[in-house]
Amino acid sequence: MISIKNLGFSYTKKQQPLFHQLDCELQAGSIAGLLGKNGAGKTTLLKLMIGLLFPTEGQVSIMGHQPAKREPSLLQDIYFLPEEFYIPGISMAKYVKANAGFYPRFDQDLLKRLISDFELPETKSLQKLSYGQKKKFLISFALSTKCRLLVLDEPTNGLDIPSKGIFRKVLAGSLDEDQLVIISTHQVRDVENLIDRVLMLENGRFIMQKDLFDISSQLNFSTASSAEGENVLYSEMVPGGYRVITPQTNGNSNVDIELLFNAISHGTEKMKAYVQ
Amino acid sequence: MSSNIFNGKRFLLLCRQHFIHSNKMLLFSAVAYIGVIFIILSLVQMSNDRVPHDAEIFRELLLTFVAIFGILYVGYSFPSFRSKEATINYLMLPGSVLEKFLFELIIRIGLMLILLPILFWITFHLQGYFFSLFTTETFQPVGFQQTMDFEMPSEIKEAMFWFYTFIVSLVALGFVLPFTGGAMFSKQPLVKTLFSVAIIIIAYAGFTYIAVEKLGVGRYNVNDSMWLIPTDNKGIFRFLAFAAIIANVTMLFVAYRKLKEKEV
Repeated sequence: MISIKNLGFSYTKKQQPLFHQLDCELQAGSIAGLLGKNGAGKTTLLKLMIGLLFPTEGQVSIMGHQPAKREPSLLQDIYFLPEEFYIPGISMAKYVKANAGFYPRFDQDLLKRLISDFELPETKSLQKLSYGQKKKFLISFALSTKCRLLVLDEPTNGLDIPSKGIFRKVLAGSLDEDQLVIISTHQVRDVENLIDRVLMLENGRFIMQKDLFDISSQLNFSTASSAEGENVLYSEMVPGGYRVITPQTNGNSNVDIELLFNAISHGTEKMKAYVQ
Repeated sequence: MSSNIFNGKRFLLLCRQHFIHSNKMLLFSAVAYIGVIFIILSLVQMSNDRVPHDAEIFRELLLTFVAIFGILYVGYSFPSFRSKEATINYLMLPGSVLEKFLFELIIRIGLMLILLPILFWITFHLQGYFFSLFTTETFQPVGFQQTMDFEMPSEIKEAMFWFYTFIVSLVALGFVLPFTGGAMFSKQPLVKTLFSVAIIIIAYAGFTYIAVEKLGVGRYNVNDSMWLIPTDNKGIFRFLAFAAIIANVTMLFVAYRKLKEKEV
């Protein structure tokens, strides 16, 4: 669905390129997590993917379209929820009336269900809602558009703890096979058990692009009393012992994305070799 | 036309979205416009011994109000460009660049040039009839046709078509410039547009002065048959009309390209 080839980008000609020869392929039917430290370029990459920024070299293709052309036939299949958003001072019903028509697959019933799941007050003006409520409404609207590509930038920022759980539930429960969701976040715990492909961005390049299934079949994430041992690829002290990563020997284990992220960011070459 | 260039249904969706999102703002703006006209007409009438306004005052104030309020309104074209967040929404909205551009052009200049005079006419009459309650003199209604009721000098009559073309193009340019400014500048577009226009005019006048006076172009005797160098009234108006039309088209093209190439 998304194909990025030799992507290069810098904000100004004088600046060092933010991205250089970046390659990526993402297929429909999955939820990809774009992870990276603050300032790694996650939002910039998302904007390049959807055509809000233009690459300085290389190309981006979404469903065969060049996003930089901003063709309506593509835009009606993309919904981008930015971290900081604009919302007009009208009611939810009016917002839906004004905007739903642009998306041919818009699902009104799904929207009602999601608004109910998020316990949003339907009658209030959107401007009177809290930041978190506005975000929940926009997440509901985004999912209801049924766009083939949903791009969510830090969607859990501003959500309270119960809402983060509801977010994971509604996202997993309302997607179709032909949809691709890209979630950019630095709060990896919020998207654990939700994403099925991990993209890690650091210093303008992907340091990892892997399906969670592949990771769990190669690496074992467990808690141990000691961080010593020749098989330990990476360890972190936690209350009551150590979280360790070792080569997988028997089946699969749940992937601890935060530990994996730290391991790749700070870990050894041996660790990195596993995830290339 | 291909559906990726222009689609009537999508264009109507853009219109609907605009009026749903901005209905309160449009209503408040209209009320403010009517209120200001009413107050100013009343002040003018009170300072004139409550003598009811005539067609001449109607024409003068109509042009003044439409010019001032029109430029203020047009100067904030592409309102989404005032903030990064709204720009993202606007650019990601499933509509083609041409649809968004035409919609903005129609709503900012086309509709404005129809609505502002009509609202002025309504307020003018409301104020006139309201004030006739406090004076013995009778208010005479004014029609738009009376605003055009003035005598043209005979030199201009010979070149009426080019004269009108020039005036219409010049008035259009007065609105197209702030429209393009709205597409170019994110913050304080009207102030920056006025500043840019002033710089361009000063630079143009300076270059013209240097060319004509210092380099001696003014002493060059041109052939009467040269098309681009006007030698009579008709030629002057034709030249000016073409210049104004080209300026309009260029400015609209710049606005279109700015919209198409906008990054955020």
